[in-house]
Amino acid sequence: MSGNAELDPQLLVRYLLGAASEEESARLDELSVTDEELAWRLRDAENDLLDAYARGDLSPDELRNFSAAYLASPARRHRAAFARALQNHQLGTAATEDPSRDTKRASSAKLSRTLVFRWLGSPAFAAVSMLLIAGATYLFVDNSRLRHQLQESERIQASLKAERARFETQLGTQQPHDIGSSLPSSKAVGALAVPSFFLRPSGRDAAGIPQLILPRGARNVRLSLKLEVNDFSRYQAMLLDPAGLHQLWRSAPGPAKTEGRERVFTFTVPGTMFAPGRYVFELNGLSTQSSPEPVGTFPFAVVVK
Amino acid sequence: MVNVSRKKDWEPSESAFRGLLNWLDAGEDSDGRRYLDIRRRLVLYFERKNCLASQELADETLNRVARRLEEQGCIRDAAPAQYCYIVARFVFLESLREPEAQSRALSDESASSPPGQRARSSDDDRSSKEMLQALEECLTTLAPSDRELMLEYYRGERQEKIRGRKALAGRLGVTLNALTIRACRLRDKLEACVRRRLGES
Repeated sequence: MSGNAELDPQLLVRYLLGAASEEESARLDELSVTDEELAWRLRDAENDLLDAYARGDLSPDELRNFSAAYLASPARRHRAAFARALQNHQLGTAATEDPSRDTKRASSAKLSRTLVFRWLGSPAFAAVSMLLIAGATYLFVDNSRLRHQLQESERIQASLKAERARFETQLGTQQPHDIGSSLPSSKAVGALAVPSFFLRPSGRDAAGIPQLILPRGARNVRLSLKLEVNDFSRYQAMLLDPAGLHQLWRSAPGPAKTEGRERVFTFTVPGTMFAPGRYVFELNGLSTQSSPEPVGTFPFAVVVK
Repeated sequence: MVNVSRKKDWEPSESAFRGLLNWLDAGEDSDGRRYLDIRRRLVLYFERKNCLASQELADETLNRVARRLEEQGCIRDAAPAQYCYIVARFVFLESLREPEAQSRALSDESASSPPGQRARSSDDDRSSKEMLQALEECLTTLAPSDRELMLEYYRGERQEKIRGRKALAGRLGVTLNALTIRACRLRDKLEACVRRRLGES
């Protein structure tokens, strides 16, 4: 039995990220070889760290240390790529489940956890959100077909209008952040053209990352990133692949604007940029006096339906 | 004082290797499990030190221990794992003096470049898809119970994940610690399978 059960899990993470003190590192170097239980705990912490990285859950500081220290060897980069594949597999599994069927079964908790529970922690809210997700997704994907049917059948038209009005009313009474950004805004539901999402910067206290549910074949996606500071005249957003740290796309530079009580930077991304998986937007502030300055990271996951 | 000579060309004979296994087992026959465990820990130790040749350095460490055992009959300076760690430190320090260490550092620079300075390539897309496909193929090679354990253990985030793991341990009737070890072993096995399928050995 190990005598190191009291070791702080955060110390293990700092050690793995190369942020532990010299003394702590020397001690853990030794224990990682001599103490079997600690070796497994360290391995477990490393796997969890990799999964957090693949989900885009690391704080900016952690991400910097992870990129600089952890990803310095090919073996570890392979492990990071594996973690991303595992996350994508888990996401794909969750996305292919049928919410309307699952709500009627005991196993519905799995989908609730994946899509909704992380945001609200309340079964009542989870159930409401589940209906909203199912309804909004249905309206998006089947819009053309429904419009055609609406023209041909007054009964179907009345039914769908009533249903749509109900969802829009519910969406309108929700604060956008209360359900993360998993649903497009009510404006997008009405327009049925460009799905719009609102993202907040990542924080250590966040319950999880937003999940954006995109209609298959969406040509464009409109994003609004909330600004925590408003020190720059112009901003630019970069879309990054969190596992590879590759830049996938960047917005044109532009000013922030006010939406409600929030200052946001809004831009439109081609829908073809998004496959199911995890991504990060990095927002930079631009000024003529200095180089671009990071002002926020916005991790999120994309599910295509 | 531990005398660790640098004899990279020395390979253990069958009897020397058997002596190493017996010494690591400390009187119990683990059927080679202790050897594999300590080797795995050494590989990870060298990986955490950003050594490119972590497998070779782990083998070099154990070769030196086997050689010392063959020359002296026994080692009483330290417990087996402790002694292996002492030798590993010497091997690591020696590796830092090797000429290729510089080129390794240079080749690793790209990994720590800021995100904006790295370009996406079609190769990255392809490798991501191939990795996912390999993972899904490897998952089918696991026993259904192992596959379920693996996916359940690594599902969720933060508190949800912790709750899920406790519940899983309860369902399986094992301690959380035992569950962690099983999940980590399965993940290692899957990673190795994916590596083989991608031809990375």
